[in-house]
Amino acid sequence: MKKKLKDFNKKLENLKKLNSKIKNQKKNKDFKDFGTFLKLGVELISAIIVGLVIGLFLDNYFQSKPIFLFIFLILGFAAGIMNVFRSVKKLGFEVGFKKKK
Amino acid sequence: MADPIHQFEIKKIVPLELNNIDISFTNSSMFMILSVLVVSIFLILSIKNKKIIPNRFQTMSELLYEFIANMINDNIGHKGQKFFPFIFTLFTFILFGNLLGMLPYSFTFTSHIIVTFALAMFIFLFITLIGIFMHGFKFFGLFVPKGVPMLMLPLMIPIEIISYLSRPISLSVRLFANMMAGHTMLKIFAGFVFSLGIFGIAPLIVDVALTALEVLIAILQAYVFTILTCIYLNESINLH
Repeated sequence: MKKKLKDFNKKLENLKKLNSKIKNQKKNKDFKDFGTFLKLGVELISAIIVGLVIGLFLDNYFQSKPIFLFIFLILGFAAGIMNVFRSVKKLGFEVGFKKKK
Repeated sequence: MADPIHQFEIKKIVPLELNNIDISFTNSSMFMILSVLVVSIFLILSIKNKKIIPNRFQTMSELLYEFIANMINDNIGHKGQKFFPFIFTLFTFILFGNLLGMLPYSFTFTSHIIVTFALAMFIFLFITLIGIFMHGFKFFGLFVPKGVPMLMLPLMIPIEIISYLSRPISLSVRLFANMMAGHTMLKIFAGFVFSLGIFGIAPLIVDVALTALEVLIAILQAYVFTILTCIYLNESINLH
């Protein structure tokens, strides 16, 4: 009887340890998510800036004032959206930014 | 009220000039050297008397080591182990730069965009060269996304290239903006403390809370900078 009790106690303690471990892991993940959310805004803007710079540079080079600026600004915007989409997808979010189940 | 931007001013300590290029020793360079020195002294002293049961400082340096080692293992795999010294140096340099900047009367060198941009540009070029060196022409397959129909490729490749080129900018702006905005905000609230008289207790409480937040951001931004470097390094080592 005593032996059984001891065994049961051991099992219980092991389970408790496992539980706290899982909880800790969850906490860690939340912390990582926080870091990833902070970068989303910059992710969008930086691609637009790159598009802008390339457009202005090409316009200066070919003397074709607004054409390349328009093209690369739109491409930069698309790239920015894609940057955001990718970093959101890495967190396990789906298209509508809802967490996947 | 005190000028909140004043704290970011670069002051020359030892003016130097070489071929009309200003290479003066400034307070920014002083804190960079200080950051390196603090890291080195901390690591050397903490593992000087190695024990099987570590004391507090040895535990701290071991945790730091394992933290970066795990980050590399999780993000890059065993191929990334060669880059451990690089990633570790990068992380500790930025971390201690941010944390030293939290001390009163000190200077935060990461709050200048030219410093973070130089770091990010160096990483960007380094990673691109490693990719080309390891994979040759195949490296440019990175710009061709998987599962895209041929018709869409002329549109997708420029987008991918712009997205790739935007990395150093997003990397540097993130660190710089977070550090500068936080320090400016602290200073502005501190300025309110005196001008509001007895009611200055309210901004003082906010400032205390913001200081705690700033320490969190200092650590978090160093972490984000390093983990993004790991992710980019992973892409150029393992390709897709």
